[in-house]
Amino acid sequence: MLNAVAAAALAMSTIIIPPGGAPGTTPPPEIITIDVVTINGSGCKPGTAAVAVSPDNKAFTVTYSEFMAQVGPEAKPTDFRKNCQLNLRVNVPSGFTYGIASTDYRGFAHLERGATALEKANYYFQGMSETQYKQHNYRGPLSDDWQATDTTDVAAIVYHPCGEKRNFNINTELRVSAGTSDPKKVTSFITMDSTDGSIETTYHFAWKTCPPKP
Amino acid sequence: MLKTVAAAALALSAVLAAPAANAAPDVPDFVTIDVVTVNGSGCPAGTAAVAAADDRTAFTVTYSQYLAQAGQGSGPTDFRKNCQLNIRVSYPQGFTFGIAQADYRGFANLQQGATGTEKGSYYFQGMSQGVSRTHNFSGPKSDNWQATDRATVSEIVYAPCGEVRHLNINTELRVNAGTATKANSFMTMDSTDSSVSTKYQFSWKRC
Repeated sequence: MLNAVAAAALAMSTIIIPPGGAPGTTPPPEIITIDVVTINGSGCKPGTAAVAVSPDNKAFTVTYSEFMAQVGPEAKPTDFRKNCQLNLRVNVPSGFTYGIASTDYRGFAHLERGATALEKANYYFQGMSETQYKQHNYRGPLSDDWQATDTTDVAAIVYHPCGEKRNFNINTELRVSAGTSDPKKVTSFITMDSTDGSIETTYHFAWKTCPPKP
Repeated sequence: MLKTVAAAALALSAVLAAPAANAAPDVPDFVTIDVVTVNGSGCPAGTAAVAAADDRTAFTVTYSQYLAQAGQGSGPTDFRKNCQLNIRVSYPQGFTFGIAQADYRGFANLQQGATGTEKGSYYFQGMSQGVSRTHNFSGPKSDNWQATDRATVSEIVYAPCGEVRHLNINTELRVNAGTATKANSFMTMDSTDSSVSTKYQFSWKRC
């Protein structure tokens, strides 16, 4: 129910295929790894998010204490939309690399009859205008945990045959609409408890050793 | 008015067994546990403390604000609070593990007509699959509560073999005022005498 699959159309530059490989080559790291660089947004102000990265840097968990959007008699007019942007450093080995990034979102929603909520994420690489949107919708009456999974093809995540570090942005948002419910009387809200990200390197070829950077 | 301090103690202990001589052990001969992060609406930064055992095979988390409430005096979003633990479990290669049992204790003050829920959700970092267990309580009640989560072997979600993935344990408390809208009902994950209120046991298998 919660799968959205899209292909990231990302530019791939030259793939160099020497016949037999250069002598004395040092094998590069074979996998894509990630580091969480920054977390910030109206739903994850400093001190309200915690990050745990797996020892192999292939997965991470972010937990939130205040990531909640709401409408209702005690909510402020701007509370219906909250966001949190994750900036990730993606370490791409040299050569042609193909990977799949998967993100799991988990939280709780309490929606009165007539109210709706959405969880939306957009994914883009730093410096590239192309953006992918993934959205999951929820409709009241509902008062339970929710979970959503986005899978993003990071085909040809390589921008440079000698490997490069590119920051990857995931901007998540939660929105609530009172719809036909009466926000002067009843409260509807949606929270995000956690975001889990992982990158699986599905294949990787490296045929050439690049000169060390000065 | 509800300035109750919930000193919820959370302890995780690993099951250790000595391997039989000349036989492949069913459990690893060492395991260590580290709490990496503790965060959630029921345990925002600065409200949870982690105490690790010297041998890193157990830890205790204490909370000062882990309380869900409904009815009089509560805000509209106070009825559900969560606290997520991210735990690194280190063990020898060739093994994986999953949660087999968890015990929870706390305190509940539920009016006649009100209900409370404790839920534990378990999943490994980066895996969509997980398991959860729910325990319901109904008022009138003003006493300690206790709940045990048990998973059958076939239900146990194991960490992926060959990869080190942190274990996430997301606990939540929910209170529904029900017909008791004129009084307050609350539920804490709590242990006033600081004894162990939550205990996890692991299930091991060979990769």
